[in-house]
Amino acid sequence: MSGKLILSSPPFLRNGETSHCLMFDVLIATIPILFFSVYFFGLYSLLIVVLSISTAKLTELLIQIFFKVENFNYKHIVFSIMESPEITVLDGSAAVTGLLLAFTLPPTVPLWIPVVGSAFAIIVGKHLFGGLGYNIFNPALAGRAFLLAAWPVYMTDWAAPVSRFANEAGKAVDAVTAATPLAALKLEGQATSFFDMFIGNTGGSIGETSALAVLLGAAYLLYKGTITWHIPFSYMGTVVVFALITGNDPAFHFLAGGLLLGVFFMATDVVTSPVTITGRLIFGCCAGFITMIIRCYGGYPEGVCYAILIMNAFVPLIDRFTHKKVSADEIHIPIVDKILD
Amino acid sequence: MDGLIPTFQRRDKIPHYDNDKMPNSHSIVMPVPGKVIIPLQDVPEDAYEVFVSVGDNVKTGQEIGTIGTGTDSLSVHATVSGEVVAVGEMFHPLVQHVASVEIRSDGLDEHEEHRPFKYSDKTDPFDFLRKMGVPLEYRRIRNVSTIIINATEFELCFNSRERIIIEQGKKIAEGLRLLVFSTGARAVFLVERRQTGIIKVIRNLIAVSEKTEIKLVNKPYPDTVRELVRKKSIAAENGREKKRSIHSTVIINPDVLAAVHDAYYLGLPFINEFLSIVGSAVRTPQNLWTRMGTLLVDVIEFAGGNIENTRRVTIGGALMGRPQFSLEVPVIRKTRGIYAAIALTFQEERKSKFYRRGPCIRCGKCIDVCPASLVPNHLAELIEHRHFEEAEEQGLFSCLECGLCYYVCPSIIPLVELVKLGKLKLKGRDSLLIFNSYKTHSF
Repeated sequence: MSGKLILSSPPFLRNGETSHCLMFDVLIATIPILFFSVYFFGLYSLLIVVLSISTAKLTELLIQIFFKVENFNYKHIVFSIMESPEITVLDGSAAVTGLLLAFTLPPTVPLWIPVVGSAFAIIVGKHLFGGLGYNIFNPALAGRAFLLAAWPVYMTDWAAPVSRFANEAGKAVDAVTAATPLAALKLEGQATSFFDMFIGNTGGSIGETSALAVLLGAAYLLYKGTITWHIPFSYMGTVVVFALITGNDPAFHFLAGGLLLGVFFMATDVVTSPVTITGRLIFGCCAGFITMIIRCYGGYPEGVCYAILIMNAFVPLIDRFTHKKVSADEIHIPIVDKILD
Repeated sequence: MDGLIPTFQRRDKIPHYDNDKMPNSHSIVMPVPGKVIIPLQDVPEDAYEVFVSVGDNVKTGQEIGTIGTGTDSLSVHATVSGEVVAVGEMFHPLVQHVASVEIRSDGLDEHEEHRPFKYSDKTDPFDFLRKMGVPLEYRRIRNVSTIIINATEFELCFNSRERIIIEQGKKIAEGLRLLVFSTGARAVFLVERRQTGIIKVIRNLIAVSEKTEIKLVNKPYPDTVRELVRKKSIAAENGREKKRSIHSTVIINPDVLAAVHDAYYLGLPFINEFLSIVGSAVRTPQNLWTRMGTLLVDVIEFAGGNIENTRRVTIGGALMGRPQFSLEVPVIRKTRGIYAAIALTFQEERKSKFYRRGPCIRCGKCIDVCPASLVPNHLAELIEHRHFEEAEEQGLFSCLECGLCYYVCPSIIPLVELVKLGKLKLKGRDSLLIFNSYKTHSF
């Protein structure tokens, strides 16, 4: 006679992926960017990244201890953190927020800037909306927008990369200010060489300068299926088409500034992007359009951050209109329709 | 730890087609079981007739009753020879109790002779097939324009369709020719691109017939598609559905075609069921020819299963099956296979917190894999907040219950269970495709 059988509803199979996997995938994909930023901007940029990540994690932990958990056991603090289901700080989402925020900062900012920024990103950008899965705006970009509005001087003070290609003698040239390629073009009318922009040998934020590093990370994300092609490619396609129509250099807009970092790491943030495929394409196209409007006609040299934030606000609307509505009686069987055609 | 340690392995969108874990050997005919339970109903509300009573001796293939009455009935045959020991309500794998006939085998397996169609008194082939108990969709099959033969394998490790096409391809081709001839429809073989083993076989089989074609698809088709098509065609009969030729389509499994051939040309009633048995509880996955009504415990034991430690058994596979509360239930018509596993499960609060259900992170993976182009995360959210009517407007009843959304969901949300709950709350048990897909009556 058999033992007791378990009565639970199928499916019993899962492909083993959890949301932590997605977060760790993003962390893995940023390794080349981190490497290039340390190579060009020195170890100070690594310090910024580490500070930003640890502040983000600590802030999330404190919020969850004070507001989510009832009767937190402070005596066995490590055990409580590991055990309590309300404390999700180990899932990596705070680390991703902190890391991406650090990537959008200039490499010479004072060390309190990443601390304030990532605390703001976690508190206001994420947990005031209800935590993971409920935030409307990309927390990292919300933090950057806050910093840019509050301390514009620090946030637009770009350092030139430690020039490894020009100075064979190895003279370290520290703290020379240099404009980003976009600002140089917009304010001074200077063009930067494409090779420098591709490698990352220009002024700019920690994570955005090297197109090569970002593309390496993006290739990993696309291979793993963590992001889909819809948002990045519709975004970049719109930028290129817009540049061609208005007579700008598409390759320059493609490589300059935070476009690549934005399209692959920020715009594709799963929580703040549309869920349907049509919605993702609309999101990408509109964000690309707004980026180019700001870049070509707006006051700021860079528009990716604001374009994505603006489109984040429209995501619920896009989702609502791209959800398929069917009348109650009608049954759709698209896969069978496909055979019959 | 699978979900915690980052790996460089890509995650599957649909269950991995693993040739090694499939039953690839030749199918085995299971010996005659000691006792069978043959249900006479699909659900307890069905009409039925029973022609035998307790104490009668029956032969294999003798008609013992019908599902449904009058011209709408489907004959049920004894699957072993022996003595009828009970007539009444018995366990059924889908609904808990239905009227059934229990027969104790005498081990002799004497067959009752039936005449092939050519020598029988019937003039209509479909009436003849009804009498032989072949489960076709008789109501619609006379005026269909397309017959789709689903040879794709949706459930993990099941390959009974592949095996039967390889082993009994000629019978299937003959049965199909018969159906095409008597309905005037065209026939389409649905084969997945990665089923390289049978593409060539089918190409050879259909080389001579004109109205038959082969269609290669990228993803397997869940069995419940057939049910949804049927539902849609009934809606079309009632004038609610307007467009398209979909309502003149039937989807048939290859094993039914082989049964059509056997009944029509050889006079063999439909008493065998071809099924795969897979899962961690059986020693080797196999394809078996079992008599209808064989108890699951006998099937699992025959396949080398460890009955003591078997914890989870479904009729159907690990994705879309129906969980069983007892092993003393019979194999019924249209059983594609049995999934038997030695399973460990934990209650939700005893799992590591990394494997508990989390909030939806809106990654859209469920939408990417949904074969019905639905938005499962939104549906589940609506049902969880008890907005059932709104969920119906979002296409709740187009859901195929295939389980792929749960398979890929990184937040471990029980999407399929929520969708089934919504269907139950709105229209009751009959709205669940998993029940309908085993129905043989009132087709």
